[in-house]
Amino acid sequence: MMQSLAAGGVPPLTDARRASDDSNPRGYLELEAVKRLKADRSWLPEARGKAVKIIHLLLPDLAAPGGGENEFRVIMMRRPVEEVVASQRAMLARQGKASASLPDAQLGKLFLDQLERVERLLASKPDFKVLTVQYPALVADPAAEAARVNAFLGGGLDEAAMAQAVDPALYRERR
Amino acid sequence: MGKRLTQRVLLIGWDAADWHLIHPLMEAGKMPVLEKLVERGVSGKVTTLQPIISPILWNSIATGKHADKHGILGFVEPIPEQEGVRAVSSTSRKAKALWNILSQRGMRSGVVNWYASQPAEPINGTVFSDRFVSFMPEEPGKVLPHLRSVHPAELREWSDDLRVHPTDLSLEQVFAFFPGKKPVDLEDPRLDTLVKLLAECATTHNAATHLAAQDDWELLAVYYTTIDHACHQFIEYHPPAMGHVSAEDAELYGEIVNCFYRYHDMMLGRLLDMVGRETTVILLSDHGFYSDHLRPHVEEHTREAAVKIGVDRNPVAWHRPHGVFVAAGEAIKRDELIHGASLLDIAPTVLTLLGLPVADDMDGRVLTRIFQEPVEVERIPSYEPPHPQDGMHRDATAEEADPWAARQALLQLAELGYITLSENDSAAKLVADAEWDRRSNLAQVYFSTDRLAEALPVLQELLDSGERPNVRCRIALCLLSLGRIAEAEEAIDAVKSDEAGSPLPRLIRGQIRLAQGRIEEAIAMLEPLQNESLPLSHLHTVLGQAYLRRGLVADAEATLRKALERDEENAEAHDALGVALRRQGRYEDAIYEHTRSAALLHHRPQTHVHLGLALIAGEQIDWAIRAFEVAAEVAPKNPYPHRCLARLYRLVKHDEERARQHIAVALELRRNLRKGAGKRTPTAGAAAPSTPLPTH
Repeated sequence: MMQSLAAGGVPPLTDARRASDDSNPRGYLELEAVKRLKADRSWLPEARGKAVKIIHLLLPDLAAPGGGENEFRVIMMRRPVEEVVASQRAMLARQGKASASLPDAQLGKLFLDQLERVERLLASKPDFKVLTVQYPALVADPAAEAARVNAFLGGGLDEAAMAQAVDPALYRERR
Repeated sequence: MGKRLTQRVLLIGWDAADWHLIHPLMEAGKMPVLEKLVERGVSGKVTTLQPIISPILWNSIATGKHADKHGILGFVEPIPEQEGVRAVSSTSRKAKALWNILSQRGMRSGVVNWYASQPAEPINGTVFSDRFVSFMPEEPGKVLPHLRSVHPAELREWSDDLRVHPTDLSLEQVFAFFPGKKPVDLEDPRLDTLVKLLAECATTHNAATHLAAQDDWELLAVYYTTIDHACHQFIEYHPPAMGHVSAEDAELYGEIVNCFYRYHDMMLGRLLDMVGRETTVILLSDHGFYSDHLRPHVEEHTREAAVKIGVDRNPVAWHRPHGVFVAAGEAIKRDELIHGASLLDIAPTVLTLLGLPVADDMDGRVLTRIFQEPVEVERIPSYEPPHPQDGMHRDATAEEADPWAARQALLQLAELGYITLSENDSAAKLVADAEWDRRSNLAQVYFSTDRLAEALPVLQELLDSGERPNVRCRIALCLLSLGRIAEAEEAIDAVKSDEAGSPLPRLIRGQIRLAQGRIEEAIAMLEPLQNESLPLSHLHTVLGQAYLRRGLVADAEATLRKALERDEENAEAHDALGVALRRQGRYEDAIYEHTRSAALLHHRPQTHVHLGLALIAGEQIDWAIRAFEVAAEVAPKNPYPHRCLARLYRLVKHDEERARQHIAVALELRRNLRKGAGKRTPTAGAAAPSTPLPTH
């Protein structure tokens, strides 16, 4: 999605610290400061009009004190949780790291619970607008999903470029 | 439904209550209510479980299960959504407590302050959670936010009225705990502690009396934590005050603990008056509390001698392994002493009293010997399958239901680089320490229940997570108990050099030599340890056993008597002393010591075997048969008691048929043991490991 947004005309806010690897040969377009959001929100003004990659668990920190001065458009990327678990385990294995010693089903249920909690919170915040994009749908029909995203962000993006940037090859570890 | 023995049960928990403190007070007429309860019922010592940690124990009491089944394995758990820890909660309990079982059977319960009862469970009945009692507003009368600490929800509107705030207490009420000299310095933090304890205790009692007055329950379970907390704060002043305590402090604070016991006696009186004689009452503690020469202290070693300079701050070190048990009611025997009760037996016994079946997956037994008439215990496989009325937190999120798993999920996201957990180092350390303690406690549960093969990998994981004192010692003990002596020695050899010279590794090394049959070397290693700072009663027991193996029965007797001078409740020492006495031909004395040992620790099979052997020597054959039968009941996988029974029936009773039956059972058990090769080989002495596992 980050690549797609960048192609469509929404510049990513990234520090380019995390290099591409086997799990994502096109690079991560991430911002390290996001992880310190609870302690440091100073980068937020810089993010205005840009795309920032953030995990669902950190969204409540975005909504926390000082909320209200910004409007956030959240594109919630959803993927079947079994695929998320498989993907994470594969990624950690490639990095030689251990993954949680929990059954896949339990880990998946935990992630879903986290997500539901965050979605409930965001639904109660007037300064947050949320669009859910299903990852399989994005891969299956990039043009349609690009159009939805463009409409959500107010129009004016290059939908064709957005659709073109979707790389089905990255849709791995489906189970 | 089985025969119901009572209309209702009042289950009262006094954390850490101890007969050593109660008996002198009762004899002086200062606990008249408890004294009368003892007279009209049965009483005795209740054996605790390992590790002696209150949240674990009170949940074993409520479920009849060991901690690996009920899932409460420590004081705290991670907060699912953030860094840090919170008090262990009811959503983490994986087994049904008595009130859940009653709830699904359509019966009502009241629950007050039980450990890990927050958030209050939606049972058929009323719950005031432990958080309700412990969470005080900063100012009296200030309304607390909804904390899910009461059930049903309508209680929220007025339940704060039951709370006693420290500032609600008058100076006169507080000074009642100082029967002699009154405190002058009102800023003394110890006074502040006392007042907070009193307020919590009074809050618990208010909630309890409120429910007792409702008269609509079949079980009322009330847990008072104050005796434990008061002992941790003030037992060092209890007469005779510990060596480091000043005369002034001893005079001022010396009676506090006794006063708390007397206060509990008064509260008990109020509850008993409210519930009436038709209610069966069970009062128990989860463990005792050292109040005498066994109080753990810290020593400073000078050139001349070791000087006691203060108290050991490890709270678990203070817990005596025997607590208090009293039961009284119409179906209960009167004025009788009982032996061999375990915390695990409470839940099955309460179910039987209320006419409910006992579940096969409970680890405890019904205390049938407390009943006036024989009872037939109805059984079912389990209460655990979900039931719509069981009042468990069925709607809890996966994070709430298993915060440890939630923590693992968070760690995975951190490993992936999506989040960082290091923003708050102290909070992260608290979680890591809590996780370590939980695993350590689980290992202790397995070890103490003779599940050594399960304990070993958990200990190995602890070791892999970083070197901490005693873990290698625990692994060595585990291996030693499994009969893997060479590996046990390797584990001890790997103990870091700065720890290797300390007494515990040396003690274990001595035990390894014993297991290797190198008795002289074992004795040479163990004897010098008598001058070290160790739990001396245990050391003397091991040394006494070494002397026994060497045939030095007089030395063994002297050493084991030293062990009992240090701790008269050392069941293993009583048993070994019995063996020493039998070998000297003093059979009556031997029978006495084995009987004392069995009374202290009923579940130790070798004690019953030794008792049987002493009874044979004393020509009390029928009693010997009974002793071997008990050994067979306590250790159902062990063939040895059956071999003894077979010999007795064949050679003394000339009952060939029964002898054959026991031979058949013994052979079958031996075959089963061989199938489980790699596990330990039971002998006459095979039972729970003898050395208490150090946990920290």
